[in-house]
Amino acid sequence: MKTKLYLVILITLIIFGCTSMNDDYQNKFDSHLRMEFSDESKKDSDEVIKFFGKCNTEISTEMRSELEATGVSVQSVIKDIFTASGTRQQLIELAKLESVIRLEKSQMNKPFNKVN
Amino acid sequence: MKNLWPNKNNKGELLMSSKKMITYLFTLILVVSFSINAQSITETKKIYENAGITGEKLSKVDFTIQHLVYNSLSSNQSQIKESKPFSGNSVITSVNGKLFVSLFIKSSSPQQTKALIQSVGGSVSNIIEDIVIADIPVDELTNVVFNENILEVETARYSESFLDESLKYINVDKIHNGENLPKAYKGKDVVVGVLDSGIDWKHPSFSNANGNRILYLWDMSDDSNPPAEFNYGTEYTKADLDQQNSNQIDDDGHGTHVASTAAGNSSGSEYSLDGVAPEADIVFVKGYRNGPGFADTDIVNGCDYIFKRANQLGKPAVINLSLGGLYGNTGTALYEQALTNLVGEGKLIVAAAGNQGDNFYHLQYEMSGSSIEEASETYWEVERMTNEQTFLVGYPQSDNYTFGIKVYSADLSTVLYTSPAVSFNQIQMNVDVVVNSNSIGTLNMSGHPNFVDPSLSGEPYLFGMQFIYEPDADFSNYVFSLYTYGSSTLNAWIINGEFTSDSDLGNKIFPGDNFMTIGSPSTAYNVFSIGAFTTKLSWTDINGAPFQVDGTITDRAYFSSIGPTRDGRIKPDFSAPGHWIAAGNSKDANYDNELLLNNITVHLQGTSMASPHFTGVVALLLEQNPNLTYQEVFTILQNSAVVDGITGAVPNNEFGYGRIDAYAALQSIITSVGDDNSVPVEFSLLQNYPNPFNPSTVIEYSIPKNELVQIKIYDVLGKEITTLVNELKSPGTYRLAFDGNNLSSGVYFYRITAGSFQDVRKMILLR
Repeated sequence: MKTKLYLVILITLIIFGCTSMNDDYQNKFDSHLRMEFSDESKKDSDEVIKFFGKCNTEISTEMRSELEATGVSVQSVIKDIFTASGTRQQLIELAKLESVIRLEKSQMNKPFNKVN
Repeated sequence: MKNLWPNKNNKGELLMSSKKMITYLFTLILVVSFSINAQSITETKKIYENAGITGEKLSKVDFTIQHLVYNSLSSNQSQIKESKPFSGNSVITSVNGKLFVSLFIKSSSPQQTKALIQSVGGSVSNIIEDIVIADIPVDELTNVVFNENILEVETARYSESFLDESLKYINVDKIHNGENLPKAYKGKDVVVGVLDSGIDWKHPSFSNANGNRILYLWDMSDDSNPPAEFNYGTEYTKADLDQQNSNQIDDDGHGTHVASTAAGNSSGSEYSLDGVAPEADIVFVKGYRNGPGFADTDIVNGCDYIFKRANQLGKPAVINLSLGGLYGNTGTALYEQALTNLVGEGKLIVAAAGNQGDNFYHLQYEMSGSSIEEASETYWEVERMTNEQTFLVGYPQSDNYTFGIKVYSADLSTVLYTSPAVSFNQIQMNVDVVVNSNSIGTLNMSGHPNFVDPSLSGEPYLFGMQFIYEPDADFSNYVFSLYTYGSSTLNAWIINGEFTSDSDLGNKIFPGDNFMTIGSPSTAYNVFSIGAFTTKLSWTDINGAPFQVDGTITDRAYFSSIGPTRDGRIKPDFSAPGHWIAAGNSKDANYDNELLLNNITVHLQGTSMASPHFTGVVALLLEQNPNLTYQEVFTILQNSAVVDGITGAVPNNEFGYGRIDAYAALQSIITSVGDDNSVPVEFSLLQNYPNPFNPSTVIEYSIPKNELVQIKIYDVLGKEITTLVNELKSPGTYRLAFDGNNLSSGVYFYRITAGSFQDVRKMILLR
């Protein structure tokens, strides 16, 4: 009986631990990425998402390699910020990196001519 | 004579005003030129009389028509040719070898006149009350204009519509002419970078005697040959373009117009126009990939690319971004931070402030209540067009907030739908919006913490709503509302929708407003934010029809976005011409005839057009000093900007620091920073100007011989704030900009040490 109880507690702890880990990386997401990742219908999507990332220091060649090792495609590196694209799973892996402190989904802009 | 010019207000509605003075002036010129035919007035009179044309009849028509009539009757006919679209020319066009003249005809019976015109092979393009706008065969002119129904006739003319019409309002014409300057400045050895919809690279504005002026062109829409540093798109070099080896096009037209405004030239064609920096090198990025719109990651990559190419060329660069989005940004988004990080010495970015100055895209009020029955509301409408969804972003100042949407019947009498309420740390995804048993869309709503960058300020709370439309839903029968309750000040923005002005404060119905409508990325730190002012209100289009809008020359364009930013910074920074601007027309674009001046020139309006004026001016300044920083350019233009009764006191959230004056700005740096040829006879440190200042000022000093110069700033307690100069300087007079942006109001001191010379002066920062 005690063994069963310990097992239940252990499983519960594992579940909470996993949930907490998920929350940790989602805290690095902006509003748009949070919505993206909360959409169950896109759970298995391999759609490529364009995004910005910010690291806790200026990004070195080694750090860039670490970022790219998650599978994302890094384009520009501008001091501590980079532009990149990747799938949902790759973004999750990226967000788990300690050096990555922020991820924001790319938005669309329009030309600013005024059309009557 | 009564007014014959049908005009238009800024919505394109027809008005009436007069251009008689212009007409008479050109008539006079025509009369003088006609006299060269050596026909005496007496002979001319006889010819008319023989044709039964009395003086009374002739008085109904202008001199151009009189000439055409006379020419058709005379035995000594001169050859009438198709006219060129130069200012003042009558509009005479050739169709299948037959010449037509474009006329405004005032008639007592417009429909009968229309029938008459059509019976002689002419065509009527419009009838505006009693005025008929028509193209008449030149050889049938007499049969039409002397008809008994005709009261008055004028020829349509090409109007003065050159880019230099806007350039003169910022005194760029004086710079191009080198007035009281060491030389004419045209942007030589400076890179003007543009990221836009595409470019008509064959347009004559972008070539000169050395071939194409576009040194690099990155087409992000075509993945066949990416630039070395990136893995998408296709890069073309000048050599490719000179060999006609590119299939990149600009079927939108925006990018061609913008690039030609900043850096077009007039040497490639008699119809081409000089932009602000006509001798600059051009690096262009086509940012459209899958249709209209720019991903902000592409924008950053494009700017990175332009600066990299400029660096390889060993030249300074200024990049124009006539684009943006409206998200209530504060300069803290990674997109904005990335652009800020790119800016440096001789590397500058200019962005359009936005065209939302007449749109209710923002709301602000104090939230109250604790249930939906006590909620506040603001109505909003869907901007369907090509958009598939509407976004709402709210920034409450506490976590005590709840929000949702309602759908009303068009007369607001019935609530047809109420969404679930979402509070802080809650999320609702894929909520079906069902109205009268029909789904009209899907809602995603989320309330969560707003990331606050440790190095930047920011608000800790945020909510977002995304409404994805059903493709076939008809929204004309519905009014939407945002409802909120809680306890917080709320600022919110709507994207692809617009709040209404409905206001009933007693029932907690709050209106939208047009404040805080500055678009990003012009909200980014160290990126210039440019609003638009008016420089042109009328022209004659490619078909000879007049076009006129309401407005006041030099006033803020009605659409130019209004600041401040969400974090309270005054925006725009400056104002430049943007309403209306004639510049390069892409051959692959498809603009309405009324906007076309000729086949290679089109009129557009927007802060999109103001931004490249400013960009070109920065290029002229960089030609003089390629190492200028953002703050130095800001100070130079701030100190030279035009401030008058129209701008009001500056800085303000409509004009920023005023309308730019390129000539005054350039003059101010030509006489500074080592450009003063006279060697000072003694050391000196002058009083800063302006003083008091906010937030920047200029400090001037002179040294008569080579000396190690040190200039430091101290606060009132004697604590060192910063070192402005610490290097060996050659003899001369120098000016340097000091930015007190990070300092609080108060008294500061600046001290110079140059060899044995020392001096100190006091300055006051007043915020």
